Amino acid sequence: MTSLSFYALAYMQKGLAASLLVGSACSVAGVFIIVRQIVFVSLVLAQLAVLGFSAAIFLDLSEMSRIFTAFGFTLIGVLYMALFQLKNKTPADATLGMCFIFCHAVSLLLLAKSTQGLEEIRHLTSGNLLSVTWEEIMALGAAWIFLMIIHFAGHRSFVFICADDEFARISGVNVKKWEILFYISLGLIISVALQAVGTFYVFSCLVFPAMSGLLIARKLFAIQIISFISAAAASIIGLSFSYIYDFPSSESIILWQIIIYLLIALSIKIKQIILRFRIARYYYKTLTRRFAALRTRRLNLKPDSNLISNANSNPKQTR
Amino acid sequence: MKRKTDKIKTYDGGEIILTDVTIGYSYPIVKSINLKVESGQYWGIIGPNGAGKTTLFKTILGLIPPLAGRVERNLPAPCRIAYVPQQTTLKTNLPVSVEELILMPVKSWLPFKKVSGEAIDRFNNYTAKLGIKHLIKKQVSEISGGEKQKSLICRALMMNSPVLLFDEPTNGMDIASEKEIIELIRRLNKNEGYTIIFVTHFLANLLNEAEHFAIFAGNKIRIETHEKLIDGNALQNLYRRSINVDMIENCFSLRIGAKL
Repeated sequence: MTSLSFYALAYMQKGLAASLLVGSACSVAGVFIIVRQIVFVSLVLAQLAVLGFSAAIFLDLSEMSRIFTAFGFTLIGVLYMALFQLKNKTPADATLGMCFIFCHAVSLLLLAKSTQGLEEIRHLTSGNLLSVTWEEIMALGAAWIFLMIIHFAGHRSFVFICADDEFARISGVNVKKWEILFYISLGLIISVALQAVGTFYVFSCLVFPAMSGLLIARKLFAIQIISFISAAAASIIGLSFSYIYDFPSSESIILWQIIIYLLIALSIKIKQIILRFRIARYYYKTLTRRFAALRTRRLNLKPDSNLISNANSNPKQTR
Repeated sequence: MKRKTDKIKTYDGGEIILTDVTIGYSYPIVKSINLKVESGQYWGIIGPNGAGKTTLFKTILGLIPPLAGRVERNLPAPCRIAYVPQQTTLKTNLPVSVEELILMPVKSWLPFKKVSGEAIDRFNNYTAKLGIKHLIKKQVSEISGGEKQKSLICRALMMNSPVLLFDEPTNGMDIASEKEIIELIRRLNKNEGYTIIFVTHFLANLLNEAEHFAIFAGNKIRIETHEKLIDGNALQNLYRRSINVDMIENCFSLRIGAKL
């Protein structure tokens, strides 16, 4: 029996597929989220999706209808942000904070009346990766393709908007269109992923892989590739870890995303220390060599001591 | 306030015409602006902080619609007005190189499509002229404020527009770099026929370079001649300080005195 033979199990395959799809999609979008400093926007979008799910559970809707309701709520949030954000006099972070608290409180109120209230709350925050169905994976795949198309077609526009949105508008980039498409693709993947993996996992995938990529690479495309790889690695290692040690799957993957990030950060720090040590050693060697050369030159140039003493004792004689 | 904006017209050439324009956001900042910037002219915009200079630029660029009146941009068909913002508008945490930043306006929306040979020639020419050729592989976050400003000027020049708007382009630069930029802008205007609109608080630079002046006074814009500005009264009234304009070695310099 090989060490990874548990991946032959159908529920492990489905769990891995779901975690890879969510991880890769969120890690690609996450780079722009980190660079644009809109981490809280993604958190609010996730909370809006939770509110949509809670409303659907409250209304006792079917599994697929829950995803659509969650996406509907996210879409309202996206459009609100895109259309009214500029005209709003309230600071953006305060609006986001209020939105987050409102969504959280209302979803708790809605789920309080559900027969399995507490279990539903736990399910929405932590998800259940191992109970994902093929239908959910298909829905995740469709959302993944949509997000990747948007990011492929809009890569240049997103970079331009991230650097200087005013200049992007002057150069003819339709900033509002691309911003709406970016948030819609993000909202869609969050809404679909919520049922399978939970809010924590989605949020973690948006932040940690992108942070790992930003630590290593210098070009945006390379950052996205590294982010993608680190998310995939965390999914495989985390899921294996959760199976072997019997831990919850989503939290295990989150843990491994954090571990990968910390390992990269640590290796960079060690590399910097080694580099500084090498520089210090180089300067120490150069300085000691120069001091040695200076000393030998001084010794060679040292004048005859007898001549000096004679000259000092009888100046007239020397003249 | 309800916006009463006429449609923006685009003609051939390099002109900007503002007719009875009111600029502002939800409230008017400056009313009844009548300004005609003709092709090849060099305009200096003068005004104290918060007078509305950047708002005027944004209105000309089409980033903010005018609250009233008409803005006409007379440009060759595919061209847009090029703009050099203050370097503070640039997000420094973005992981892009100086080369990528400069080439942004000419890059295709297709991720793997290469930049045209003509654009590369312009890129080589302007990076050499601005003395930033050695910086092109560096990250934007690694270069100094002055170098960032030069990169932004280069990015605007890459747009190949006949009209260039400069919003305090020499901020944060040392005197040698400042002189280089001022001379480059002069060459662009005199030798290559670019239309220049320039905002700066270094009035001596404007007096030496610009031919036409628009002064923000209260909520109005006054068009002043070079002679009137040199006289010093217009500047004195604007800044409420005694200002004397001297000529030293064919260059204007300002002596700013006590409050009036």
